[in-house]
Amino acid sequence: MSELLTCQNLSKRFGSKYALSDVSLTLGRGQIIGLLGPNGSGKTTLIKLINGLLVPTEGWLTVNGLTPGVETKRQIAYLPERTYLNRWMKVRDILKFFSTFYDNFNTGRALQMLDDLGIDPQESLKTMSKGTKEKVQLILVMSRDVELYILDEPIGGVDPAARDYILRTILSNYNPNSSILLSTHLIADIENVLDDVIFLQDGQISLHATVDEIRAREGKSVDELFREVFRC
Amino acid sequence: MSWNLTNDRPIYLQIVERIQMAIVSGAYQPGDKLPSVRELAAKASVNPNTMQKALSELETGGLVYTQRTSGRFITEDRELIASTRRRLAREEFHTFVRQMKGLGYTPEDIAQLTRQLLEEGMKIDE
Amino acid sequence: MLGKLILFDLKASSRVLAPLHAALLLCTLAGRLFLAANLEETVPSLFLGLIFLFYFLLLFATVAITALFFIYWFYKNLFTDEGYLMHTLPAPAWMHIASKTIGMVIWHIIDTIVVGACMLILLFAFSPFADAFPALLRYVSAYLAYALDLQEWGMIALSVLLFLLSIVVHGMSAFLCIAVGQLFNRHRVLAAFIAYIVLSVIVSFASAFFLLAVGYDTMATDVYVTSSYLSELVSSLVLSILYFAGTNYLVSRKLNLE
Repeated sequence: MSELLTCQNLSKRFGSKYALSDVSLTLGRGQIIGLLGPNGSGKTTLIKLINGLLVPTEGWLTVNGLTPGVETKRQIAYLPERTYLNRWMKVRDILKFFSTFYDNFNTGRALQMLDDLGIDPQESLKTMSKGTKEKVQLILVMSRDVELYILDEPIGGVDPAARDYILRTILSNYNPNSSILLSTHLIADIENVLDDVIFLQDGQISLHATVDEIRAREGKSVDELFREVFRC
Repeated sequence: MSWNLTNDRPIYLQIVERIQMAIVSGAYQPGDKLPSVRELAAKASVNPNTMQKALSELETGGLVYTQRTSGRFITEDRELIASTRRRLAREEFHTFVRQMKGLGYTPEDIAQLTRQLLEEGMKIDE
Repeated sequence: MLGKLILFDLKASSRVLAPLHAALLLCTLAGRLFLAANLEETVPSLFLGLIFLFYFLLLFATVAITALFFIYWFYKNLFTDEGYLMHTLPAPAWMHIASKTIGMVIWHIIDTIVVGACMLILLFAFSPFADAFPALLRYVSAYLAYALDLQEWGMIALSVLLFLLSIVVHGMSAFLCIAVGQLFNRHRVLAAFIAYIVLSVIVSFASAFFLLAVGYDTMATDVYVTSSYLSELVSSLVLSILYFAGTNYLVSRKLNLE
């Protein structure tokens, strides 16, 4: 399956409100794609749909040609915006958890990254700062060898040095078979790293182009264009 | 090499320029082996596909070539490097002259000012 | 995968339930020694009363917490932030439900055994009981032999099955209500409670209606017992399946994580 993600006329309604309307897009492999839009634009809804945490109201989507389910979950590594780990676990326990439930989890890589960022595997999540917890969650996701990585605000709560480390990690983990879908507000920091950019506005795609196309056409950065398009 | 990439122009074009500069100035010697696309991309903090596009451009221009199994190399065609250097110098020069004319300098003024400033510059360096 | 989930649930639940049961056993043994040494006569009765009170509170707490833990855990692990982790695991919704149900049953069995053992340990401190125990044992084994002989093992098996099923059906009704509660964006727990009340009412009415419709009258004692056991069995089974199906549907198609 050459296309990693396909959405066709995808819509999701909550009550009377459409969080996503008629979204169609295709994502290929070996790409880093930015999903950009203000709060309430439908980013989280789209991400949940891809992860199988929500079911479409209209339209359909497939990951690797399969409807979201057990098989797609095996091939997707998801970093949500929130802390989703058990507070009472130690980092070491969580590594065990991930390697138990995911056959594509690379414990060695995780330990290396924890070491790089100075995080002790014996530490318990309870005593960690929010920033450290976020780093741990990111490391867990990036230590999986999957085809689709979905990162929801991966660099938001992290200090600039760790931010650089995270971007470098994303780039060095790059492989032509996998893609990364990044949702963030901090566009300026990650623009150079993106292939494609998708602007989501009121549940619809208002733009889907490469970073260089946007810069060539508009003569400005994606960040600047975003601020213009989504000016309050 | 510092990758000071500005954010209002296509990234791949800027990369092409930076690498051209490096080749032309001798930072990359003819025949040098380039790091892999991923390494270069990581160093420059850009998307590997963008880096790939830039390298393809350079290949089309002939400054870089790929040897199927060994990787990418800087061309050994010194004539091409020299002519690229001349071309870039001319472009810089044209930009400079345009700017100076915008300030109201005539070609003679420009030549005189250039000579004067270069002499002064050399004295300070000594 | 189901096995892995069950292990995970047992590990999580043991963190709370194991120390509790261990404490209960220890206190029971301590109490047993206390009684054996006839210390109760040397201690002021107010103090004695407090000790008994403490013990029964511990006993009550152990049983109550065991009964309620998995309901709390079902909510916390699957419908709070942790749900983002659990529901993106490569496991179908029914497996999560089954895993927690099984964990709940296992801990109920452990709890029953431990509490039963504690009761026995304490009862042994009283000589009438200790003296009568061999006779009691003989009576029970005689009954068992009689029952097994008469192939009334059916009754014994039925009782055990009924016991397990009652755990399942009550637990699953709570799970279903939690699944209903999570449909709402606010006051999810309150909604679950209300759903539980509504469900209880519905089930009561339905079973009363069903009994009337079947034209149930009192029959001869042993037939009555068997058939009421059987009907209990059947209704528990049917309800469990319905609850499971309902919960599975809600969790796989109507998941509403915040």
